[in-house]
Amino acid sequence: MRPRSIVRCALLLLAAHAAAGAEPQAPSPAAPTVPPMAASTDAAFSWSIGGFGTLGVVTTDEREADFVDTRTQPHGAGATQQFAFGPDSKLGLQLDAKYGNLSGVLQIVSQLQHDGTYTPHIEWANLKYQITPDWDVRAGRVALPVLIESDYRLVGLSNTTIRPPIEAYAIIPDTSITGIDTTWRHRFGPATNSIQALYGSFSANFPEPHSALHVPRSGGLSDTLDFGPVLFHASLAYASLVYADPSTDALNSGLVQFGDLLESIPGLAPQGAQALALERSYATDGQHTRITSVGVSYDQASWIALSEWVRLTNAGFIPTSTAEYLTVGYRVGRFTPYATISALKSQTFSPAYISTQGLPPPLAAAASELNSGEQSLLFQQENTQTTRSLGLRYDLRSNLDLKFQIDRISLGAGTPGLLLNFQPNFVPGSSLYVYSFALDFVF
Amino acid sequence: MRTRTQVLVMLLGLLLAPMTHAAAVLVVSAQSPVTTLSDDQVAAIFLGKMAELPDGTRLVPVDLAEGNPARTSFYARFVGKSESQLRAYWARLIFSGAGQPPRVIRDVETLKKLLAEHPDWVGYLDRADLDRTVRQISAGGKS
Repeated sequence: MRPRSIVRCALLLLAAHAAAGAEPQAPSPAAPTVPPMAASTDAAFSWSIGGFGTLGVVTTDEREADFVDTRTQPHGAGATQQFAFGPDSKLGLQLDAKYGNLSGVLQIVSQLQHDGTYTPHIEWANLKYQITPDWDVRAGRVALPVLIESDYRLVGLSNTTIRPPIEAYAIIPDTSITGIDTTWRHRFGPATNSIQALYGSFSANFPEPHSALHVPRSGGLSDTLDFGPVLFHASLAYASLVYADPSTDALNSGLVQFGDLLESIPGLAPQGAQALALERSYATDGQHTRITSVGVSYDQASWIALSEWVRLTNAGFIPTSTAEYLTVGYRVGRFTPYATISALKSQTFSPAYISTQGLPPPLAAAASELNSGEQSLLFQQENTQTTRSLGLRYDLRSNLDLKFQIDRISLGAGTPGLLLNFQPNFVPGSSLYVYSFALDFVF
Repeated sequence: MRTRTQVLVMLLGLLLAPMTHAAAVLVVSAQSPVTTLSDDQVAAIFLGKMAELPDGTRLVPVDLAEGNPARTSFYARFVGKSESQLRAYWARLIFSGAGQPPRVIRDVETLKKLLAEHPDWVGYLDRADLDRTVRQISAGGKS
């Protein structure tokens, strides 16, 4: 079955189940997330509806570029807006249905999209079949389980910090994948081990110049070892890439045409070969990348700690990138002060270019233009930056928290970091402060 | 100096008071074959990490409503989580389709009545509410 059909089937089944059960067993509004029927009565149908959200506002002292949560957002705080709601605000609604060993999840999320709208999208839509109490298979839209918080990164109330470290999550452009997966859980003594295997495809859209990343084939293995307060996580994933981006496509076809032309002119073959080599080195289509991660978390009565390391391997103009972070928090009653240090380091490409020496002026001008196009494409991929954060979470009620966070972001020398919308006076490699306030809730 | 320490201790006492005054005990139906559980098993069952015991006995956890002192005491003692931590934990599982929290029973009398009818259920109540319809199971130690 093609991924799209799987989603459609999942939705239809969910809708049918919801319609069948809506009349006699509407859940009590007081406890919407609790299924009205007990799990013990296996044959019974149950459903529930719930949701989560964050109302967040961000401001920064940077005026020449925008701070964003992910690069799929077209704008954020800084050059575009002094106070931005876009980076962190979101609203999610979820419908759960269960019938015996079969269950379904449909989650719709509204957050700032690449096109500047808040058009709701389907974050989760899958059917799960519980083969045994400890083994299940799912088909439909599920999360790519690369990092510990990947599955619930959008649920602010579940996380200590305002947003999961952007350096680590910048490595994974999309949270959901359409395909199939299976999870096997094994318990020994006080520990539970879960192994998840997954296969599918996904797409991510980015703002200007309207590029889209398609990953027609992606697969992965993820293992979680849960010792109660301590949890270890490791994952391996691969993704085959197709980058559809008009400006990059134009650059690549320009390089090929230029290279072919020079190779046909006696004496200019070396420069022609340089142009063709540039195209071969930095085109992403048909290439694949590997993502590896390891992490550990600790959550006991007072102390919370979370640390992860993740690496993405080079494919075309996407550089090898490594991110790591450590968050430590300490609960004092309803308050949880916390600190995070998080770093992303992207490989710097060696400055490859077409030599203009010995080229007739019109050809030299064309070569310079292609060179600067390539340099600007590669520059935008040099996302090296480090963020040091201090924050405070206050649990107002069990389903409502308030958070305040100050980030000091230091961009890697001569790089734009993870900022967007650069203005003429932007200084690569500079530092900025980001101040964020958020209210998280679930219902 | 001493008075400041005393004030601090008093404040701490006030903060902790609502969490400690109820003594929750673990209970099952009088027909349940289960007599003892380790602390790890209790936490795993109520956090949805374990659906059956190593011998294959199935156990279905049930909760009392949020705000019930026995519930607060039970989760502090056996699971080591406050109501906020518990809500954050379940939000992770619910919104990733990985699980749903235990069914909530609205009061202790209903809980006792339902436990008697469901030999595979496991719940908790204040020690003072124990009676013949349910059986306390001992918990503690390692599995």
